[in-house]
Amino acid sequence: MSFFQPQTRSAPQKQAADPQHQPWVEKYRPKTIDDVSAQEHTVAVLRKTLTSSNLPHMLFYGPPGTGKTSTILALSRQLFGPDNFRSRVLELNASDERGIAIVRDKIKNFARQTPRAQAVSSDGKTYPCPPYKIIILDEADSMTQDAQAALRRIMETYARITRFCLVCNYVTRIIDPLASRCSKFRFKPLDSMSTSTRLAEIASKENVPVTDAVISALIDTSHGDLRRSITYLQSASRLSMSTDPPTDIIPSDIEEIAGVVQSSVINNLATTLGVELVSSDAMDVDSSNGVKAKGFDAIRKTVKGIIRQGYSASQIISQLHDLIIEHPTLSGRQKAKCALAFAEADKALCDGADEELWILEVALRVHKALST
Amino acid sequence: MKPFVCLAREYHLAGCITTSPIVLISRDAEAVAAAQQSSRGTTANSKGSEDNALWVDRYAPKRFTDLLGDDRVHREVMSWVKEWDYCVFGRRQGLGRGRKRPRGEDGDNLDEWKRPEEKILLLSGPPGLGKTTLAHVVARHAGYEVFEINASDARSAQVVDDRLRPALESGSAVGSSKPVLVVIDEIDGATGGSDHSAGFVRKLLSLTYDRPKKKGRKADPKASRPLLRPIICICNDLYATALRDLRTSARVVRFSRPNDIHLVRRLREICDTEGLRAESRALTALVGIAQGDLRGCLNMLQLIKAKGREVTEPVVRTAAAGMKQVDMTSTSVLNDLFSPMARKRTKDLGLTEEDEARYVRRLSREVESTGAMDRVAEGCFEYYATCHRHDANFARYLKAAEWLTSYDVLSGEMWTEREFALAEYLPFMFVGFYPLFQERGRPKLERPKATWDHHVATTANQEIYASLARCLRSAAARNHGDYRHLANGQILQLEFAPYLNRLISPPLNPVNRQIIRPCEKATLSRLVDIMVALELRFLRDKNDDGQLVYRLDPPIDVFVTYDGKRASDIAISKYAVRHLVATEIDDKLAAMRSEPTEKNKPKRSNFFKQRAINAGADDDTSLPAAKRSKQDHIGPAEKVAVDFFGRPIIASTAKASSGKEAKIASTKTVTKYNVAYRFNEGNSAAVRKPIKVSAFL
Amino acid sequence: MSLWVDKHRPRVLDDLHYHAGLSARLRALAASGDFPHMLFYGPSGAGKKTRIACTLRELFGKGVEKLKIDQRVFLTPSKRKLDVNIVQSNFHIEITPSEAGNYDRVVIQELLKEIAQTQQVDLSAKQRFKVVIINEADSLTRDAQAALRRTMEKYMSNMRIILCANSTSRLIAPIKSRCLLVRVAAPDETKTIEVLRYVGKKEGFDVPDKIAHEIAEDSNGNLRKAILVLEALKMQSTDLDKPLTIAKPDWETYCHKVADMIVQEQSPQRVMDVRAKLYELLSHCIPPTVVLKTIADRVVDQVDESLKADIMHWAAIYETRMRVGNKKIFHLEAWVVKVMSLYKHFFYDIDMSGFDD
Repeated sequence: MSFFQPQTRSAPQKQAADPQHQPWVEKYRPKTIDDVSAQEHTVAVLRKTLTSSNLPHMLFYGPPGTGKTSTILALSRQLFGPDNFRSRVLELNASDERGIAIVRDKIKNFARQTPRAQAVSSDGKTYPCPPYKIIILDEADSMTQDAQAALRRIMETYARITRFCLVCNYVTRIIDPLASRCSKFRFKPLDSMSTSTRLAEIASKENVPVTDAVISALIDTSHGDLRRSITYLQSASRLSMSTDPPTDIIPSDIEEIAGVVQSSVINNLATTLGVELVSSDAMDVDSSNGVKAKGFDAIRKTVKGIIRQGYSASQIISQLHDLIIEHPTLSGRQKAKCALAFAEADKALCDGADEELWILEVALRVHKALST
Repeated sequence: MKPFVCLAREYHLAGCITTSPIVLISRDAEAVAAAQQSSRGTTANSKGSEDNALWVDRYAPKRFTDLLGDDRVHREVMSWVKEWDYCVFGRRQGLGRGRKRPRGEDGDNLDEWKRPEEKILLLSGPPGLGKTTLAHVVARHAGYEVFEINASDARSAQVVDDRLRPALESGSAVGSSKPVLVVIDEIDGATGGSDHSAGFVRKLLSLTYDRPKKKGRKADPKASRPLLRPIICICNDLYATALRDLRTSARVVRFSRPNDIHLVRRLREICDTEGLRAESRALTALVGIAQGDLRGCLNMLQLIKAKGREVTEPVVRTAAAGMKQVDMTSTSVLNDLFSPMARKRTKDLGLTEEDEARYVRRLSREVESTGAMDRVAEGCFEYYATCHRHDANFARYLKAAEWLTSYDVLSGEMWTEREFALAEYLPFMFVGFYPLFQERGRPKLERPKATWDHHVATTANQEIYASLARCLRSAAARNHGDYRHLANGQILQLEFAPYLNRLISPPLNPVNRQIIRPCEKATLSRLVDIMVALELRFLRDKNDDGQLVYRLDPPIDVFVTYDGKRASDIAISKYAVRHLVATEIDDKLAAMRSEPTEKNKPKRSNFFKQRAINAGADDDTSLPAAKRSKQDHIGPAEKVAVDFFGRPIIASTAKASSGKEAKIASTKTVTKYNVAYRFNEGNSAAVRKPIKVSAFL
Repeated sequence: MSLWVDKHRPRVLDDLHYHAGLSARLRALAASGDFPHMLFYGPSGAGKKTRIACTLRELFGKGVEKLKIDQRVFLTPSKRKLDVNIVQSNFHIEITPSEAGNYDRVVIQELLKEIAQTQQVDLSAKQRFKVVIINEADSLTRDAQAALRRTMEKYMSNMRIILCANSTSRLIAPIKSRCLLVRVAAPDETKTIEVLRYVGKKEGFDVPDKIAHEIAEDSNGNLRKAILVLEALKMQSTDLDKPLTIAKPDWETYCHKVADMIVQEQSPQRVMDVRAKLYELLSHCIPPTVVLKTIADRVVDQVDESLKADIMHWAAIYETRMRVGNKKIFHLEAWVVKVMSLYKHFFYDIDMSGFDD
């Protein structure tokens, strides 16, 4: 039967997302702002608003996976409860059309309404339900300048009955007039302690046996992005569960899922470039002589090999970066030159430049920096 | 030339009654004001009394002989307008003059309405030379009422229907007995070559096409009547893209700059009448700066008068500093970039050497005023390497390349990020070419055309890739999606296309198909299979020498042809081989058609069972016939080779051989069978496809 | 009638010739009932799509091979019509949104919403979800990726997305973190030879060692190319034991010619000649990046060691700038001029210090 045929059955089963198959990220999203990990300062401020029923416009910014969206969702849920949530909160993100037309139309209309609060909530709890609505603009940094400009006035005009919460990664992408109308909350990357407690909690709830090594691998690969580490954990457990018989998760699984390049590959590249590996106890003089002999063609061959393996260039570069910057014997000057090369390559790759050319470019420049 | 001269004089005599030929209108200013209002019908000036009327209007030539500039141009325009006389006024041209004009003598440029061959006149030239004035003056002289459309009016195809056509068809303007002459001013302007003005031009041209008269039937009242009134179009840039079609079908008259002496004389006369004291040198300088733009000169003089000053050279120079930069075409800017300023022009502008050395501002302004920076970029790119100056270490080339790439990066950024603040930096990207490559006495640069050629070639090749991709997709539809992965962008271009060419050109020896060696036979049959699957055909064609050749269709062999040469490792298959292959393909197709059920059923049973078509016929032979007829319906209409029922589109492509007979035969047989079609059963994709009911019958 | 590339393409996970570990994982995932969104990445011709097809087969059974190929028309906000080819079975749908160019977001949004709002109606289907395969995911615009981001979470209940990309660098992090990443490395030479042998055996002939080695080396891990070459070679000469040369694609040969021209002579006239050739290449729709890379690769083979790094450096720089700009030829020529200048400087032993950084 048709792939496209609209669903004719009754609706109930529609969004019946099987909790078992639900992404853990959604499943373990904080229900109250007190559940939010590691953002004590922000949570403390917001908790006050729960009692005082006075909320400013807010701008949440910080790296991905630090709980920005979770916080505002939890907060509005606590404010309005499940019944009023729908009429009081408008959530828009980048997958929705958010051009200037939508700002003028949908957002303005929503901002204008004054919905009546449902007095008694169905679950018997009482919610503060303050007399304003919340408009959450997720991923606000991807809104166009025009759309942001159109927001300015709306924010002021309906300030009495509407609060805005802008959520973004890069605060610099928000135009100044908007930013100055909001109180800013910076979300800092999660420290490893809170990440590991949270991960351990989830793992125990899901009955996934994890070792400390796995947790530390998760923390290493996710760089303070809790969502990413939870997703990795789920993927890893999925893989390990589905093998027959189920095996335990090991750290290398996590690395494979995260797309981390095996350290042997990176080490191999580094040696070709003339980086002395700390673990290898080769004599200084010998290895540097060996390096000179290798030269351009050897480097090109290694790079081509890496490309054939299908590794992602940005990953390679970031791992090579870690290796060189933390290298004990290289001089500061050499490191600086390399760092410049890494930075330029990262920019180029973000612009969509060719991966092979840029890995080669980085490799050659590192080689040059080290051999002088 | 003589007839023209006497013609001019005749009109002059007819037109002006009292004054002598070279008289200035200003002498009888009241008459002018009156004439202005009545003739142009402009109301804007009506309240303007003599004092505050613009000099430009006050001293606009009213009579043919008042016109300054190249007489020949004027006469050419006049004679073209006169060619309409018979059509419009119903009188013979040149009648009563005793001799026939040479043009009329030929007689064969006139059609049944005795109209000139080109129905539109296109006047082109830099601004301020009096093109509009000429059109008006000539029209009035020839006894027409001017109907003007200028930049203030919208330019869309709609306008032609709404305003032009009624005016043309009624033959005369409202409230006037005179026939109408349409002047379309600034036809290249405003819209800047966008779709709108192209549509406008196209519509305009469509007015001029004559429809063949339908015999016996009364003409459809809605159908447009033939164009019976002259149209004059005026433009600055003759080569504007929007005018491309117009250029070819209109008579083009180019305006050139009138001689400076005449201009100066006219200015002097005006100054005298206005009581403005003017130095001759100042007037000459003014004309020089304005580059013949008389309108500009007059405005300037009026300004000076208003300030109550005398016209001296320094005054002129300071006033001229703010004068509007003349619109530059990209070609003239290119010339300015690549060659130093002409000595004369330097003198005109009164620049010292020091001033001349300051080129940045001048050139960047020029570049900016073209509004077509991409074209300037293309020009710079095309010409910088043709420079003759010695460049041992490529230093200048490096700089040029740097400028060009910076321009491209900036403009790319500007368009993708919509950062139009960058626009003001763009013109400076070309100024650098001046010190690097300026060269006295280099031949005048032409319009760059390499980019266009490249574009044409690329589009042609893209077409071929697209048709190959379509072939692949339809092949995929028949072969369980087998070929579909090859149709994706880069794979198609980089891997599949080159190797496919090798696949389909095995080194076969041209022999009779009966006596073919077994090993070659295998190759041949495989080749035929591949070509049939991919819908590649050899079509018989004649090459330039009239020789018969077999051409590959779609011509994918262009992908192994670089610089007009085919790759050396691919054997060029001879005529005989291709002939052999072509017949084999035809045979194969015929075979597929005649025994399709055995061949097709097992393969595509899935498709047929689900598809709602039940070729109600019991005997198998009807099926192919039904199929083919359907394809005959679908084939031409739908170029996309995704066949409705996932079957090969055979009939339409193989028409060359026996398509026609087959078609006739099949349509005959088809009508006998009932075709049942049940909706809502089977595959949604089949249901969704829009298809005519006739295809099922 | 299919080409060997397709004819001998493995249909089930068990038939795959290499990456056995990966196949086992995919099988396990397909069996688990908890199938995630996936992202297959790896170089061209490594077998990503084959693995996707096999995984689908594992998920849904033979039904996924009943394909329909169709064209859908999408309407952009500016009312332009876009034709997008769609391959679908009852259980999955395959799209290449990059066909729609800058409007890929429209395609993604409309199509995915449509699919997400329908449910698997075939009761005999093994899975409750449908699969959407998005080819060339790395050429999706940022907008389209952003649109995908939320959709992936929202419609998890009845849709799974499989992305197929050459590299993950161009995908935004939120997408990557929502998918299970599957890297498909190119087969090494021995594996390639193995596959070539297998194809030969199926077609009833033996692939000589020499030829197999040459093809494997030439294809550089691109198995599709290797098999195409093999078939072309077999068509061109039935007897593979003869000494044969592996034909390179014509654009590659032509690029090499250009590279040779650059090294042979450095003069304004040569610049113009090279330009004509570059135009010819571009008009054959060869992507400018490929042109630049191929020429650069060839040029560095022929110049002194000390120049190589610089030449590649500028190739990288100009390639990046080319992405932003519109007129690719400018950047290609700029690189050519740069190389010529470098070469001249080197040749006349002029001080090179100015070019170091």
